[in-house]
Amino acid sequence: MFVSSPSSVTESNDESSGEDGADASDARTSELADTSSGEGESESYRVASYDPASRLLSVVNENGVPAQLSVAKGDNVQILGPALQEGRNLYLRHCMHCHGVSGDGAGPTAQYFKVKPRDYRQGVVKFTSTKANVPRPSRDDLFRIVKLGVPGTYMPSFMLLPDEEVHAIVEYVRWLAMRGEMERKLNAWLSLDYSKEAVADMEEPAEEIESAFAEAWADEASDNITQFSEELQMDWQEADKEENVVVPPTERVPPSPESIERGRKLFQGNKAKCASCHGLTGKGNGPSTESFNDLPGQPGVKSDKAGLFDIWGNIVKPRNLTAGVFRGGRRPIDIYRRIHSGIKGTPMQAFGSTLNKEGEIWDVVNYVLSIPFENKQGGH
Amino acid sequence: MNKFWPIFFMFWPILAIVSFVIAPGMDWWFPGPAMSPLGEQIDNLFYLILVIVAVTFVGTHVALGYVLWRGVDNKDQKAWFSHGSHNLEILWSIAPAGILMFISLYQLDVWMEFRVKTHFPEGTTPVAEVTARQFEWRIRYPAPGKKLMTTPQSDDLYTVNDLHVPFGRPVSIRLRSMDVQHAFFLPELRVKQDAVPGAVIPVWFEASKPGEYDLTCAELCGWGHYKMRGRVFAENESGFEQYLETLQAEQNFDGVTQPEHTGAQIAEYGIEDSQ
Repeated sequence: MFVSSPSSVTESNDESSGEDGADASDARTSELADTSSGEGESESYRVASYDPASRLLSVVNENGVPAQLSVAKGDNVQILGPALQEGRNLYLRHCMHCHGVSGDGAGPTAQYFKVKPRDYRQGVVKFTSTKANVPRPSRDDLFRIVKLGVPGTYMPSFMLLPDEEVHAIVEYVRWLAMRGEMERKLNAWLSLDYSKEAVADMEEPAEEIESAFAEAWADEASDNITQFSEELQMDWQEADKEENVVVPPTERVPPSPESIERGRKLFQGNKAKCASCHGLTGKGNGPSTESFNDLPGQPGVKSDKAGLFDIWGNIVKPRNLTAGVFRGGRRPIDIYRRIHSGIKGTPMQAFGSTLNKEGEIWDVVNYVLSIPFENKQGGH
Repeated sequence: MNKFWPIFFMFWPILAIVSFVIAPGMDWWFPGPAMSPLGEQIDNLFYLILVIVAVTFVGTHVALGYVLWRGVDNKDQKAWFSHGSHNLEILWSIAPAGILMFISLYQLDVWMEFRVKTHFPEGTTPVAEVTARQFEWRIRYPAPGKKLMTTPQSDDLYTVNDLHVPFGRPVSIRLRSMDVQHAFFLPELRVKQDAVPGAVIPVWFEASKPGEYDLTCAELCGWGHYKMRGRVFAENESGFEQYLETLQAEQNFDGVTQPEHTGAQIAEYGIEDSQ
């Protein structure tokens, strides 16, 4: 209910994108299709209310002002709700077993996995094409992961699911992520004044605390919820913008022995310090895997286990690059993006600004792609 | 009412004959006609065994029906009690043994051609390595124009669940498993072979027509067994080469020089849809 973006109405003239909706959506959209509309552009509104009995849908614009949908015959009105419903059904069939009903990565089979299924609720996934300062994945990224799977983990490929079904799943996963984030934001806000400890410290009687809380909620909840959902909407929309996709400034440097050698020096040297985690030979056994680090989200609190943590609280091993298994994809651009923007949610940082000389990242990419074959080539 | 049992027992052989006759036309036995030359031979073996079984089944039932029919009105004559007859015991031990021996010898050629590497058809080309894994088929091709090597090469091409092969000539795959036992099953091509962890098993097949064929896992391999759905896409030589080249272009994509989605692996998810 709180999340605005997926329950918005998108109006566009794109024929293909409107096929997702189930029969119910056709019935709803036909009512809207009677009014007239402008041409060529796409607008989106938020659903303010929907009355199933009269099948009347009212919408508001970005500022919350009631709006009139002007739609002409032949226009395509897409209500993302039905797509979400289909996505939910598909998610429950194919994904829930590992990723959990709420997307918390704790489905029934998750307990058997050494590599844990992604918990979406922080809105962070590892393998994205987006820039380092864009915290969310694009739809494209999620689509690719579902279609191709993640080799080296338990995530299988859903290559043969029809594209529309994968799109629906992607929408639902985004929705779960937004829901989780929204809950976390609300939680963080309420914990400012009403955390368990704070309430325990209060001296007023329970009724007074309750009524004060109700008052605070009535005063601030609406504004906060709007603000949170706007933040969410902005973050997720940023991720889908073309300018936020990492595109290398130059084409790949040919993987010549010289380039590989330059890459190796960067990998092992002090500039990029790849070796401090991935090890001198890329086996993923660098010194920092043996060090004691802060627990995720608790700066200053050391873990009693050695190793690197991701934000989900798992100890992550730096990738063993000699195995030739690349979770986020093996295309040069995939490795480039991993190095350029890092792997979100993990200690793998973004090196886009460190390796700033022309072709440096490509040299490292060439070296990384050559590691599995090093001995066979009789090289370094 | 006296004739109920003879009629009852005669009904079944008649039903059997009817269904044997109409079944092949209705695709009751197989998922469509065999799409490979070896598959046709396998189907022929199936029909041979079916005929043997049908003749036996119908024969014994006709005999049973005849005996019952005669016995209905026969109040005087005492039945012939054959229990313990040495000759009969020998007869119905040797006859089935002979039939089984015939079947086992008769099918040897097909078996050898299918399973024994030295008897694979001449010119069988290894096209890919297929590694089964919970719950997908990971595929490794050699670069276009190169031979499939037993170990990964730096220019190998990778994809998943979507095996492309040329049709009209025998090709083989190296079948492996990364975790548990799976089975590489192409129902239309009549190919079924277990993938065993630790073993590399060559499997050959020849698609006689271009088209899309199901690839499924035929060994219950875990809760997601149903997810192991792949496809084999049989196309002509130039189509196959072109596929490998597209895959290569896609795999070498550096974000700059080529269009990102060339269509070999996944369809385009347009950025304009994302807004």
